[in-house]
Amino acid sequence: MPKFSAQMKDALPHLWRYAYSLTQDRAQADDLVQDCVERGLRKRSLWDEGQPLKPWLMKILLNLFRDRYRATSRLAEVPFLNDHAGATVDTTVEDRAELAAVVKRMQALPENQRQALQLVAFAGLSYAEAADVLSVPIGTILSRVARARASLNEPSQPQPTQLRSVT
Amino acid sequence: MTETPSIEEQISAYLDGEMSAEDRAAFEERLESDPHLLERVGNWQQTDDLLQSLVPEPSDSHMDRLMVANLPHEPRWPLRKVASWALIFAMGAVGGFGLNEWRQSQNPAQVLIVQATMDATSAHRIFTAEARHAVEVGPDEAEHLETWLTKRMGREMAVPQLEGLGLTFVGGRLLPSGGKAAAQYMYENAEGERVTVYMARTDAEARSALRFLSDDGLTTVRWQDGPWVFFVVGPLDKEAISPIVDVVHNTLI
Repeated sequence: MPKFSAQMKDALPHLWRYAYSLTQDRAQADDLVQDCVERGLRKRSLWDEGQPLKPWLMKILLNLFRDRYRATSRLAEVPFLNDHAGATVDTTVEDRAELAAVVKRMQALPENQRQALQLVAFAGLSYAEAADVLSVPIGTILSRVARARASLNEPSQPQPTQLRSVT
Repeated sequence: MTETPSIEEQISAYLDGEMSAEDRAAFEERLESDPHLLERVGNWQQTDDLLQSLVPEPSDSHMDRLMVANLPHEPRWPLRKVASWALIFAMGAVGGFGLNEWRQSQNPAQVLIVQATMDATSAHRIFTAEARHAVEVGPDEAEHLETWLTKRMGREMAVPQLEGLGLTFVGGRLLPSGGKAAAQYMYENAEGERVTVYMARTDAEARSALRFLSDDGLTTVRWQDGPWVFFVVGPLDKEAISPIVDVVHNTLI
């Protein structure tokens, strides 16, 4: 297992993308990553060296995010606001419409599904690692990610009344 | 998986590279004979790509800048920003330095300072929590403490006088740090909050400006002079700790 510092460096871009996916904001992603790394360094002795570092850091980052934003309910649960199309270059009108639709569906996802998807898609974690971060069985990650993707691709019709199970 | 996964689960596992080699081969075989499924997987892949395009890819240089963002040439001190990057804080002596360079060089002197930073903070947390055994030598034997630590540390170890700032001297102790002797002085204010001064020796000569780090209610200030690295640690904000640092700095330099 590579050393702490080497693993941390490798995890940085993923940490940042994950932080961005949570906050939708570059500056706040910067802050979260810095705080996460600092806390990681400070709690380094608690890290089990036999385990990969990245999921451990993601867990720290997610906790920081929760502490910071959920408590104040400032940003909570508002992923993917509009300025996103700005993140891509060369988008055609069609792509933009598609993008907007995906953004909207992402917002509509139940939180536990979105969380699982974010860990896999942006944090670059395996299902097993994501399961570790969220403290759920690996099969739960598989089913949440699959449901999330199904909703993104094949959104249900304008909410029929409480027929859909959302877990 | 014990149960047969749904088709959505299979597509997900396929796209995420979470299938075993056999499952993957079987799934691909099925794709070849099932155009409807193939199209569906293609669409899902496209959505995945769109999703990825929603989150920018940070450049290496951005990540490096993040790490050096708290070096002292930054004029402002928004407290929470200052809090970041214990590592850079600890390595500040060598100037603008990213993890990249750090990993490549693994200069033992920097590693030592990182270690010293952690030691200083740990020593603060451990010993300030002690009521009866906070120090090895109490204030009534301050003179003996000075002589003893001077001998062990190999430098003048006058006890900084902080009464003027409302801090009573509690005493001091000798500690190990990276195979060498380190020293800690402890002070206490009227509210019972404790501030520690920590000194350790590094292998590399350097001179640095003051580095501030605030985190978890604790502010740590570090500077280096020659082989000596100094820390002031306390549950105070930057404004409150700065005058303490001045006195300590002037006494010990």
